[in-house]
Amino acid sequence: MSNLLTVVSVGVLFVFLWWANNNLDQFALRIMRTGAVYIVAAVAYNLVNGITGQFSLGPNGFMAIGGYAMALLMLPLEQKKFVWFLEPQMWPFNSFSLPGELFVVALIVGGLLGALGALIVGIPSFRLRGDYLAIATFGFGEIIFVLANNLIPFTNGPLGIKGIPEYADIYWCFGSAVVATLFVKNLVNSSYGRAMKGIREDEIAAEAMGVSIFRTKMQAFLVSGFFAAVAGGLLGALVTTVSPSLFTFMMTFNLLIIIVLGGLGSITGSVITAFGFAVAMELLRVMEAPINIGPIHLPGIAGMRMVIFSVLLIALMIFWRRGLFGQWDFSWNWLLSKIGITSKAAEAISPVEQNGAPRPTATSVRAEAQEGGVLMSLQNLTIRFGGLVAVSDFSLDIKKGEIVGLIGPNGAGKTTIFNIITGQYTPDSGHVFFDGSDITGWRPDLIARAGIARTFQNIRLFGELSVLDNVLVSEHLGIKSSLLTAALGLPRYLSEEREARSRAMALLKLVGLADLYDVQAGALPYGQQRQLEIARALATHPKLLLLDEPAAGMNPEETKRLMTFIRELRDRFSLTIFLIEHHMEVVMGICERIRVLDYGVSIAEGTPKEIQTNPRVIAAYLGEEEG
Amino acid sequence: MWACKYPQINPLMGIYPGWKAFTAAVVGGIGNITGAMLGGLLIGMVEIMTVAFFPGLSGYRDGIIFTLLLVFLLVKPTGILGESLKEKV
Repeated sequence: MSNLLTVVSVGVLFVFLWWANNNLDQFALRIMRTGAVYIVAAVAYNLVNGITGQFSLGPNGFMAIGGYAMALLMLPLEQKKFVWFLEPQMWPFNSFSLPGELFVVALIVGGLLGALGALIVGIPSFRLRGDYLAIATFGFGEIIFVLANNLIPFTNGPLGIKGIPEYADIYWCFGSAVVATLFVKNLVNSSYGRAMKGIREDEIAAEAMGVSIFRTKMQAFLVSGFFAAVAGGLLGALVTTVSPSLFTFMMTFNLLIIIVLGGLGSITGSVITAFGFAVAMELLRVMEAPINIGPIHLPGIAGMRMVIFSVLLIALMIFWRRGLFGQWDFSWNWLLSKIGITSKAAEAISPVEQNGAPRPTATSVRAEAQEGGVLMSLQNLTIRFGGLVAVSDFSLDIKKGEIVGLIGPNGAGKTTIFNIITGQYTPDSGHVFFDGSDITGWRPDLIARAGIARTFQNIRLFGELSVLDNVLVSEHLGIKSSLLTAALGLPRYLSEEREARSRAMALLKLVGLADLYDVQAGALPYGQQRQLEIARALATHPKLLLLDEPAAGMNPEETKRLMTFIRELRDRFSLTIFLIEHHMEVVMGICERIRVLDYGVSIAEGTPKEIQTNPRVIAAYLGEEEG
Repeated sequence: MWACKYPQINPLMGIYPGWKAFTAAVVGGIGNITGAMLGGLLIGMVEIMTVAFFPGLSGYRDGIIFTLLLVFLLVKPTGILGESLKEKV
């Protein structure tokens, strides 16, 4: 249904373009083409800055790569001799030129080179967290600028390359805009896009759910570099000149205005503001010409347009912080439900009915078979922060199918042990063995893949995403289709996506959140957020589930339900559960074995009964806290 | 100071020294004063020495600084004197 509508509306667009091409004057067409090029560039830029939440300042560099690649490939030989009159042009570009029909090849080659540029900048920047990307991409843009100015045999220096045939007609420009928009939109709505949004919302949580941070950021950045370079190629073939001054930092600044105005993270916003920006830039030329208002004569001020845009941007930042569209995106389902043709719930819910509960996976069946064996073994874990020994010589074996509790006063090091198990911290000494392999020092996403899932003490949901999307971020682990398959919306990916959705809905049903699937996770009440964290953790198909204070903030009735729920989980998914809890009722009620920690040292272990009567525990913990 | 050395004032003149200062801080080690000093010295020397010894490359001076930045981020992201940081979860 929505695919059909997309095809129809693209058809309508091109009929309109055909009409425009025959009826509108050159000036109007030129504005439209510029707008389309801005759409390509802005959508690409928004993928990194808005969707993935990484601050890049580099699109001008990637656009320059695409622009120069296109110019070098497409400029006719005659014109090449004419342009490089100071120094001869470099081989091999002085010996060939592609015919106009191969314009698309030049764009794609430019795009691939842009992606290569993105790879070179991305590798050093994404290994680090924080704002390094901004400076690295800015530096990259400057390096390209410097090279373009100085490598005269290659780029003809500051004079640039003139006389490129005007290949970028209205069909090419809008064709590219449609392709870029649909590609990015599909990508954003796919499992890969959800992983990117997860990183934007909470990098640590995303990594704990098995999202490879480096690879996912890189994917966004490569796609963005590709389309930015395509936009650069189009721009060159639109203005018929490629020169360093076309791709200065000003270009990045314009694009930044566009995506912030449109809403970081909203593809719809980028498309509309990109086009609007191109139109407004022309209309506001009036502002730069001398103006006569009655007797008052205002002289024209060059650059006034940018002042207006900057003022607009500041006003927007103050009054409408999230841009025109925030993170909202247009979809056909939304439109249809608005006009009342279908209910928007229909698509997401329907597959669940066929598939009530998640099937046991191969791994859980195996776990059942070996019940009783040791699943995880912690050996002599020690970690220090500065001078403080947070955990000292901690050892523990957890058998398959057990529910083990870890208790101790605040600051005893319980959460630190969880962080060591899931790879957020690397212990100073000691080892973590899980399911037969030594996972000490592995990256958190690999540990999640190995089968350990966790919840967080201080709830780390992806607040801006819907409840369903939160769970689907974890389902990313199971997606086997490549990014390209997903972005092109091929059937193989779509069936995987449907399965992931129905599994996710089944999990939501299990925790009682199925009716709230389209609510923003951050808007849920506290108790339900905890439930959602559990569902999200289960969606990674774990063998071992770590629960960090699952009952915190729950009332006695909720706590009681939680206890039966945890037992049910264990039986249903053949899980092993390791939990930290302060509610003694929960710990004593469901744990088969309890370990007590105080100041990073184990002080007791045993069944709930033994722990309750252990004098050391009473002294260290129960006596003080429970009174 | 920059305005005296660079006998011209324009609205965008602050951008380059700003970015280069950041580069210097990264090279020296973020959060380390001595490192920032060393980094600044290194960046300045590299820039001037490039021009002094390889006049042919003078057009590339800004490019070289930023390449240096990328190399540092790749090889030693914590800078010359920076310490690795443990992240709180």
